[in-house]
Parts: sequence; C-alpha cells; structure tokens
Amino acid sequence: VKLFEKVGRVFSDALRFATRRPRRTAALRARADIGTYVNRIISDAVLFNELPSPTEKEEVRCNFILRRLTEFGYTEVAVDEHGNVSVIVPASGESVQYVLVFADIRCEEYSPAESLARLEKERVVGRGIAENSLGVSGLLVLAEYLIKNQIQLGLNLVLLFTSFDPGAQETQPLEHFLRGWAARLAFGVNVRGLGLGRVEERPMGTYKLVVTARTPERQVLGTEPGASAITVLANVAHRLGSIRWDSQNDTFLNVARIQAGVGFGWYAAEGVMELEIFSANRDALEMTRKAVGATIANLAAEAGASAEITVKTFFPTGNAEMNTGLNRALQGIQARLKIKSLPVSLPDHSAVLNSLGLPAVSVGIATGRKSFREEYVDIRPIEAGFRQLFSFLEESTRERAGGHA
Amino acid sequence: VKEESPIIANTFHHSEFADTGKLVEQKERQGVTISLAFPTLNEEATLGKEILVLKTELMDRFPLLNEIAVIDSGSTDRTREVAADNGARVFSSRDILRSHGTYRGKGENLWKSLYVLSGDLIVWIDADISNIGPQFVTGLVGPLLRDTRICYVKAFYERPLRAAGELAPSGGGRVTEILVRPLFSLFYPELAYLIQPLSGEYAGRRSVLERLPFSVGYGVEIGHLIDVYHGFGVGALAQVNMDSRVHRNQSVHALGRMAFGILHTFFHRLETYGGARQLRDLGRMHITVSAVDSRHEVSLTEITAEERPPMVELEEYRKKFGAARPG
Repeated sequence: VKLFEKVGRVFSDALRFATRRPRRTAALRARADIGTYVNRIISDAVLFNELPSPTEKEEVRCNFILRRLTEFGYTEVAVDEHGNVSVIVPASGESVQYVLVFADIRCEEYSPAESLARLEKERVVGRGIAENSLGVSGLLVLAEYLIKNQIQLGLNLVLLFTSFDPGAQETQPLEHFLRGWAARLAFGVNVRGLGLGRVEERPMGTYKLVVTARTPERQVLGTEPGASAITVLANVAHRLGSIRWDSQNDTFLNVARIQAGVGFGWYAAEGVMELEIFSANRDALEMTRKAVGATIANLAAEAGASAEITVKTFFPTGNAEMNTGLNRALQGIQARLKIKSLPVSLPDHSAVLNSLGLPAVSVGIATGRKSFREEYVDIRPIEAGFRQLFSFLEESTRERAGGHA
Repeated sequence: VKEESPIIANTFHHSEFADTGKLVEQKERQGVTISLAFPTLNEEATLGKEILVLKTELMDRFPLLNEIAVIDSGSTDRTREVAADNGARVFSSRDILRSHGTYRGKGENLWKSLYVLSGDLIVWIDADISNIGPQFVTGLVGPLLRDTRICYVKAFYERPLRAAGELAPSGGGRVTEILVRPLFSLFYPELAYLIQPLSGEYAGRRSVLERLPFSVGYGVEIGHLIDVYHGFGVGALAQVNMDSRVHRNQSVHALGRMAFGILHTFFHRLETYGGARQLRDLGRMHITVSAVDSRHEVSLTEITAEERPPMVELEEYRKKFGAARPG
C-alpha cells in the first residue's frame, strides 16, 4: 500500500505538469507576468533571512523550504539525512536527463539583529540577504513560478536546497546528493543572490585561511625582548605578499584582514589575519596552501610566536573549458535582456559539479553589495535577474533536449 | 496555585494556525471578509517591509486578507508614500468622518478605521515590528475563524529590544507588569491571565468592535478588554503566542505618559461599571520633573482622555454598513 501511495504521489506531481494546455502557450503567458513574482522573491528572502543559521542540518531553514514547496503544490518533496531538500519538475517530453538547479541555504554571518532585513525604497538591507537568502528565495519562487504556470522545460529539473559548510573537513551535503544523481545530470546551475551579469569564465579554486598568532604577554615599558603579534602578522603579510606562487601567474594571495591588540601599555599578544588564496589550477592551489602554511609556521617560530591556521572556506577549482557552452548561452540571454555581462574569475560552488565531469554555472539574480559594514540588494534588477534565470533554463534545456533527440 | 481561567483555555500558539490554506477555506466557508489596518505616525522605517511581506503572503499567495490599509495620524516622514508604494490603501485619519472632528492618537485611528475598512474581521497591527511574518495575522484570525464564541484576540510574545546591533531580553512590558497587572489583579482578576494586555496587535469581529467605545489615546487597549469582558464575557477573549516581536525601546518618560493615559481609561471604566466611584475630577496633565545640572525642569504634557462612542451609534456608519442601532 505504501509503495502504491508513493508511486501515486510521484505521478501526481508529474500529472500536475502534464495535463495542461500546450507548454509554449503557458510559458509565453507566464513570461508576461514574471514581474509579479518579484515581491514574492523579496518577501521570501526577508522571511528566510530571519531564520537562524548555521544550525544542525539547517533544520529550521529546511522546514521553511519544505513548507513552502508543499504550499506551492509539490506533493513529493524529498529531504535526505544530510539536510538536502529537493523536488523534481518533470520535463515536457520523455527526457531521462536532469538539470540540477541549486542554492546554498546556510549563512555563516547570520545575526539575530542584523539579519532582520530593512526594506528601503530601492534596496533590501540585512546581513545575509544578498549573498545567501536572495538566491534561496529566487530558487523557491522559480519552483512556484513553474508549478503555478504549469511550465515544463526540455529536461527534467531537480531543484535542490543544500548547504555548504565552508570550513568542513568532511563531505558536503551537495557531494552526498551528487553521489546518487551525478549520472543522470546534464549540467548544473547555482542560483545566487548577488552577481547579476557575472559570467564565471575562470572559476577559481579558493582557500580562505584564518591565522591566529600568539606571543608572550609583555608590557611596552618592560625590559623583556620579543615580538608582538602585530609585528609577527605584519611580517608574515609582507613576506607572503612578495612571493610569486606559480610560473603562469595563475595563483594569487590576498591579505584580507589583520586584527590584533589588547590595550594600551601592552604589546599585542594575540592577533588574527585572514588570507585568501585563489588559483585556476587545482594542484597549484593545494601546493600554495601548503607553502603558505609552512612559511607562516617558520616566520612565527623565528619570532618566538605560535601560529594556528584554520580553513575558513574552501571552493574547488572549476573547469573553464567544460563550462564554455553554458557561459555562451548565459551571455546570449544577458545580451537579449540588456543585462551587462561581466566576465569574472571568482570562487564558486558550481565547481563541485565540474570535478564530477559536469558543466555548471552560477547565475546571480540581483546587483547589490556585501561589505564588512553592510549587505544589500538592489530591488529594481531582480525582475531582469529572475527572467534571466528562467530564460537560461528554458533555452539551455531545450537545446539539450533537441540535441539528444 | 493553579486556577482555571477561560483565558488560559483560549491561549494558543501561532503555529496552530500556520496552515494558511486551511484558514482561507474556513474564511470562505463562513463567508466572511478580513481587513488588516496599521495605525501609523512616522513609521517609514518598518512599515514598507510589513506591508510587502503580509500582502505578498496573505493576499497574493493566499487570499486570506481582503484589504490592507494604513490609517495615518499626520506623519511627517515618508510613511504614506511607502505604504502606497507597497500596495496598501492609505487614509489620513483627519479625512475620515470629518464632521466628527479629529484627535491625535492610536485609538482615534483604530476607531476611524472601522468606518473605512470593509472586513467582518478586523486585524490591527503596530507598524514598528522589525521581525514581521504572516503569523502576526494568521495567529490572530485563526481563533476567530475556528471558534465563533471568540470575539477578540490579543497577541503576546517575547519582546527583545534591538540596541547596538544586538537583541537583548527586555523582561516583558514594563507598564504591564508595574501598572496593568496589579490593577487587573485588584479589580479584574480574570483579565490578569492576559500575558500582554497592552500588545499592539489584536483582532476582533466587527459586530463586537462597532459596539465598543474607543479611548483615542493610550487607553484604547485596556478599555477594549474591560468592555469586551463586561459586554461579551471573559470567554470571548483569547490570546496567541507569537514567539517574539522585535521593537524599539521606549523611554521611561514615554512609558509614564502611556501609564497616565491607561489610568484615565481604567478609572473611567471603574466608574462606568460600578467598580469604584471617583470623588473628584482626574487631572488632565501628566507632570514630570527632571534635574538638569543644579536646576529642576518641570514639564506638563496634556494627555487626551477623550473617548469615541461605539461606532454603531453613528448614523453614517449604520447607513454604510446596514448596522442596527444598539438596543
């Protein structure tokens, strides 16, 4: 009986999409009112942004997504033991291939006060809103848009809400998900809040490292010799900055932040430095990380200090060649929608798919800013961003479906 | 000590009413309409978000609300523009029922809103909530749709204060704990079971609200509770836990003015219902004295103690809504 119920639910979702008017009419009609979905994207981003994160398997955020998808009318929403929430939107034809469309639901910078978003005339302001919540709400509203307008695309879609623990040493939930799905996927799309118009032409692998230096406590007017944490970190920054990391100049190091000090009258006994290493070459990235670690350890030891290095974020190196077709398609749509294309080299979750031999791109749906002090998204471009996402999926799945036929 | 109270029996959590689709079904089955109104005075910072979220969720996605309106007391910031931009109907309090004059105060806005709103169920929500969500509406209308005996529903919540980029616990409403709860315990112990009797979020049936007098100022909430208690019984009251409401902190002086207005209304109700007799007129001025360097600064603030009559007593209202004059 349970098996029949399950099969029934799967067919129910498929039927919901299948027993309709011709899909092109639905798609054309829907495209006309895509703008009415902008407020839903903003509203969901605001509500989602207020949910605490990180939490164990992001349970609170997963429950929000689960409830939303059920409200939209999806009857077969899957939740796995790693906290991945997914739903399938069946293709219009007989396709056996799927496109993975995913967003990251975890927010490292959530703050109970600063993540309460503020709506201004032209922008939405709040910690986490741009980098994190807008991408999630964009994907949620895409799910709503497809089912409400009865739209089916050339290939099946798997809409996935997953989380990336940037400092995790163990396997990420997305990688767990891909173990069961990679063989059925044609390509992947990472939906992001920021980055409208960006085209990741050279997806760089990235390490963000946190270096904590400690020195013995010393008074400024004391007689004991030794270095302060400030001197140690400044020396490390200076030395690392002068190193050329590979012969092709494909690897870069950036000292993003240095903070140290205890109070007046005392030398700083503890300091923190944040470093980023970027590389378009996977081996060079790993080699550089090891070399940076060794250099820091040596310099700290020479100064009589201790240094502890932790990985704050890791993004694998992507495969630019593999993504060329998708990037061209994305640029074509951007040109048509009058969205200015901006080729960039940035770290990207979609590189995880490249490492499995799958093309993947990131699609940003808004402009805005994330800085140390504030984070916001501009409201006006969201409509174009959402239209871009839908058009990209529609055209690239149609092309692939045609190719396979 | 354990005591039974109808209010405790009518105490809910908003999650009991989280299925918005089900609420819409109940609403349609009962053939009722629901209006949401925000009384405002210079609330541009939070109002836009409140309207956008509630309109998107409870009008566009789920047709639970029939209208969202703002009743403004004469804001000097962009409150009215923000409200209109986000799709609310905007009214200036002074333009409603002009022949009856105008007072400045939240109670005045609520009273006048009854004339311009069309709903059978009315929801009022303060416009300064930083963590707005659909639960502030679904939680309030849920009990009204579920149980026809319930006529008036109040919200309660934790009230962390937003200060210096952090949320800090506030320890509950100060005016409630120091003034209102002791008064209720003395004169209306049944009402002392209300956790936040002064909360600014509540909903009621038009058929009840139109029969209540409205204090135009700070006393509107306490006046309603006592009037509903006397007119419809304590079982007509319910309260709903909204978990948390993030808001601005108010100064002690502002709370003092609020307490003054509440006491005015409370004493007036005691007299009306025979709970106590006033032997002299109450003062109209709230007096504060503060030490500034070596001087003392005295400040007198007039707090309006005006009361609006039950809306159903107005001929214009009866004509518009086909209501009967109270017997």
